[in-house]
Amino acid sequence: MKEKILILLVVAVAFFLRFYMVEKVPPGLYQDEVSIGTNAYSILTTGKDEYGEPMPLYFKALSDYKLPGYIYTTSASMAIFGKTELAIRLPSVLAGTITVLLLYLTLRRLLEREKLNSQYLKIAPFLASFLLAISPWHIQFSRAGFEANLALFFYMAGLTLFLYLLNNKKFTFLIFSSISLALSVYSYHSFKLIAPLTFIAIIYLTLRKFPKEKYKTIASLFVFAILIFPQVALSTSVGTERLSQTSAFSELGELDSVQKIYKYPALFVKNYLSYFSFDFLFDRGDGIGRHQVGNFGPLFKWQLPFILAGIYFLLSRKNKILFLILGILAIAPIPAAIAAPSPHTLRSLTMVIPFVILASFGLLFVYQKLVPYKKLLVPLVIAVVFYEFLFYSHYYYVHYPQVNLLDWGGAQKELSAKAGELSNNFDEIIVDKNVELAGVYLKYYQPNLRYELVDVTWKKPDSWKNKKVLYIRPYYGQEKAEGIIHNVRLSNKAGDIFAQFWSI
Amino acid sequence: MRKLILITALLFPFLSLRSWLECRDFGFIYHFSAYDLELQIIDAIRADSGSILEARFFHNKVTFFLLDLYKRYTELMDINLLVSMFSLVGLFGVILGAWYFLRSKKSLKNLVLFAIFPLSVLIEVLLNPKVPFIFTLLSFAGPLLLISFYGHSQFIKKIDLKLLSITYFVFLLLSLMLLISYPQAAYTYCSIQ
Repeated sequence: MKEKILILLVVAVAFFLRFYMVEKVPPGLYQDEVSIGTNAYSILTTGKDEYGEPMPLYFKALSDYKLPGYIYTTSASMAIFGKTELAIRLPSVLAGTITVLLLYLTLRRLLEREKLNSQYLKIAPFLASFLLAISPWHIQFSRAGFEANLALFFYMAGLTLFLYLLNNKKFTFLIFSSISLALSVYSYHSFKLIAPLTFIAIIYLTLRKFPKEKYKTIASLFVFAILIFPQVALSTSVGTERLSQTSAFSELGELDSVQKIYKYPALFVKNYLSYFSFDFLFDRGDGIGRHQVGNFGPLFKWQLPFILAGIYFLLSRKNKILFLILGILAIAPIPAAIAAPSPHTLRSLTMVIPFVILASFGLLFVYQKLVPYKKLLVPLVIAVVFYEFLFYSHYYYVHYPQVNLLDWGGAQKELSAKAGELSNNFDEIIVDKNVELAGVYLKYYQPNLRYELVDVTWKKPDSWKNKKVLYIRPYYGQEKAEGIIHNVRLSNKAGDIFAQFWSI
Repeated sequence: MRKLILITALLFPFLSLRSWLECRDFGFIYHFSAYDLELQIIDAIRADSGSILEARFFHNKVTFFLLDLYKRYTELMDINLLVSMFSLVGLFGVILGAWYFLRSKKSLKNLVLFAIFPLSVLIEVLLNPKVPFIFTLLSFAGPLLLISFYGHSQFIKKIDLKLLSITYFVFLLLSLMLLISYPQAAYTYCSIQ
């Protein structure tokens, strides 16, 4: 009973940290969220994507192809909450919250199985799920429409179901595990590699544990293979375009076949190692504004010594848990390391799971070793953890919406609303292409607005002499001038001008 | 065979260190600067829209000094920097050395050896002593080379020859590929003469 209350509290904390002010921070939808929203709404209302394709398994979006998992989930969310920011972000919020619970269930089952449930290790599942609940890495991607977060949820559900099979010997759990892992493949590109590798390991372990049940085991392998087949088939056609866009190897330029033999593995190793760099994990992250808050890496700084202690603890026990944790840690950066740029916080999101587990084991190990000093140690660690969490929250809610406003669309929503409001007073609407991604946002916020995208050299044609034209341009340095009818301002402290509306 | 593996594994860190000999100093980002710290605090306060009390609580010299120290310290321990200095197989040896050290009975000699590197990093970050770079390099590389030697020799002694050969084949091959592909990797981290 006490355990249930405790884990419910942890899940409640996780939900609060993911849901509180989710419509306002991050400050606006970024282009992928808008693209997801456009397609999800189109699927909900017409059954087709934005290009008229009925119920696709691959969505053409921006200059990319998107997987369907998050889009269909958002359609369901939009059916309840309408075309809102909340509807786009809620699937991620819920997936992130439930992942915290799944981590608890997974670790509890593992510790029970491996008989590591000594008095103090019993706390490990709570501690690990709590660390995930407050993790900057996981919070960052659970508070916006990031497909990787949904994929991680399906992946963790697959692992949990597999452990239920080992404990209960019910093979329906294996079937559900295969379905869940297959769904992760439909949600984020990295899992096209991670999920099959994990499922192969699951099949191997199941055959070893239940050698007499090989038909049931092979059947679940078939279920997995059949489910992922359409995605694999599509990846070899449209997916190759994505691969060529993001491949790390394209940065090496033209190479002859001998150079490829040594330069490709060298680049892969260099990229792969970058995911274990202290600088990336604890300090700067990948430098992409949408992926972390400035001054913070994906993991808290205080976790570094405890993660190292956790690795030492597990290695010295030579336990099977070690293989699971280090196995996930080893394969998680592989798909990310073959893509550019590297390191990349989003593509390597799966790494957060082994890291919080290692930190929780490390904390308990250090506590056990330093019991005589616990009166000094425990308050000190709690104070440091609490201060860094407060510091992070301060940066997330106060600095981040100011500093990283442009990473989240700037004032595109306000621009679209104003364009819609003024459209009836004008015959034509012209949008300068330098108002970056304005077309994507207008398509989502003002789907019925008719406008033309032009480059900076555009001049009003003579044939439009008698037409009233609304010209939307970036801020080129003139705050007031004849013809400027509205300045769209950013919601930062300085109130910088994001774009201007000209009447010409 | 085991001796041959050991000698080959020890050769690579020396090959990697060669490119570091052309360096004059570590890049400025690794060194603490009071002026830079002040700018960081000013920057943070400017972006803060909370109360003055909140701003003081989070953006003060103590917090920022500790953060800055942590940042530069971890940057100087960057895994790719260490690989460029000691090669992949050399770093593998350092990790093995740390493992065997933690598992063994600690002697004062070993403790001193393991304390020199973290201390050298701290001195470099905080004081950036104006000594010829070769001395800085020696204070970094010397203890790590010894730890690496200790790690390799312990591992080579204890592991089955077949597994040993496969492990070292992979590490040596990858180290060689990195060395050929990035012969001037050191220049990313240091200023050149």
